[in-house]
Amino acid sequence: MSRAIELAIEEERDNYVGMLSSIMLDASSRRPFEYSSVGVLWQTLFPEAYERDLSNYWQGCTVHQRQRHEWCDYVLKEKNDLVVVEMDDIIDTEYANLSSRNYVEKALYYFLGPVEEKEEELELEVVKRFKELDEVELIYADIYMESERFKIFTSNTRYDDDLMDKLLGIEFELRSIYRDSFPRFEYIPRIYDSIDEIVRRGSKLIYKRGYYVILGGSSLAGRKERETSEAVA
Amino acid sequence: MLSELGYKEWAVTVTFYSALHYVEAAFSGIATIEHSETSIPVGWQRSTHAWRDDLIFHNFAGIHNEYRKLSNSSMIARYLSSGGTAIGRPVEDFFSDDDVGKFIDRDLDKIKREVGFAS
Repeated sequence: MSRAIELAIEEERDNYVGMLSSIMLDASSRRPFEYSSVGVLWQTLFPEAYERDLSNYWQGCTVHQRQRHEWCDYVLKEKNDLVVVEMDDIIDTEYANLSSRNYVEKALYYFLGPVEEKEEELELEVVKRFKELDEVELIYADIYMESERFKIFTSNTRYDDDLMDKLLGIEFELRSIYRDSFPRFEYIPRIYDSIDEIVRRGSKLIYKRGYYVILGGSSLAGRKERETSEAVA
Repeated sequence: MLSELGYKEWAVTVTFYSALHYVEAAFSGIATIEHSETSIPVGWQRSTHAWRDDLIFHNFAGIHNEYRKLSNSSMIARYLSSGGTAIGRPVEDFFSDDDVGKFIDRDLDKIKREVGFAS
């Protein structure tokens, strides 16, 4: 299991699954991804749920099944490069009382393969440090002119000099550690009408207060619409 | 004087660009740099701003936070003054007179001193 995932699990041990908004699994690095594998992944994540819904699994009668089918289509379109499991809606249902943490760990172990550790480690460090500030609400990452750029969205509606000192203190520490990566940071207070006009298409949501996003793949394709639309909520 | 201007977005932006020019002036005295735009290494694919930020980080780490504060605030001020749909609040509401005064009298002043220009 990648170090990044170990850190994530260690940090969110007790409320692990309930905090997740999505998991990115690098399916191509572990086994060939076939349509039938969707069922295997589903079964691995929620075996009890799978057994209950077995008879209706492919009929798409319920919201969850509909989501499963959307997810299948989504993955196929991405040519097996990335698998995203949207877990929010699932957690809100009767499945929430399952011991999902074990299932998620098993799935992560089973499906994760080599990831770009350095990039992932930087993103995790960014989240780990900035989320300690209560004013930090969202963090997006994208690649801008070969540098990884982080947009830190804060809750203040007026300029806050003390907050800026704290944010820049963290930035300085990160730049000291990740000198070769040349990370760039922008701090956006809550003075916008629509976040969609600030977040560039292709950006990756790596933190949303109240959720935990697990990073397991380097591909950003296909996440943008889902993540952007969810972040606006 | 700048803090007496009625247009705070201009004051914030001018303060940042003043800081930028002071830093560039300091670079001119460093033989291996001379200017951030002419010292960009061959093959550098990142932005000029990224290169300049890196030069400041390595050569004038003591003013990194002040410079970045002015840089980020200037970015916010310019977005506010452009009246774009992304940001609808006037800059007058976002920065206070005291905020702008500190940018000039505290942050810019420190940058000037640290890079060798007495205030």
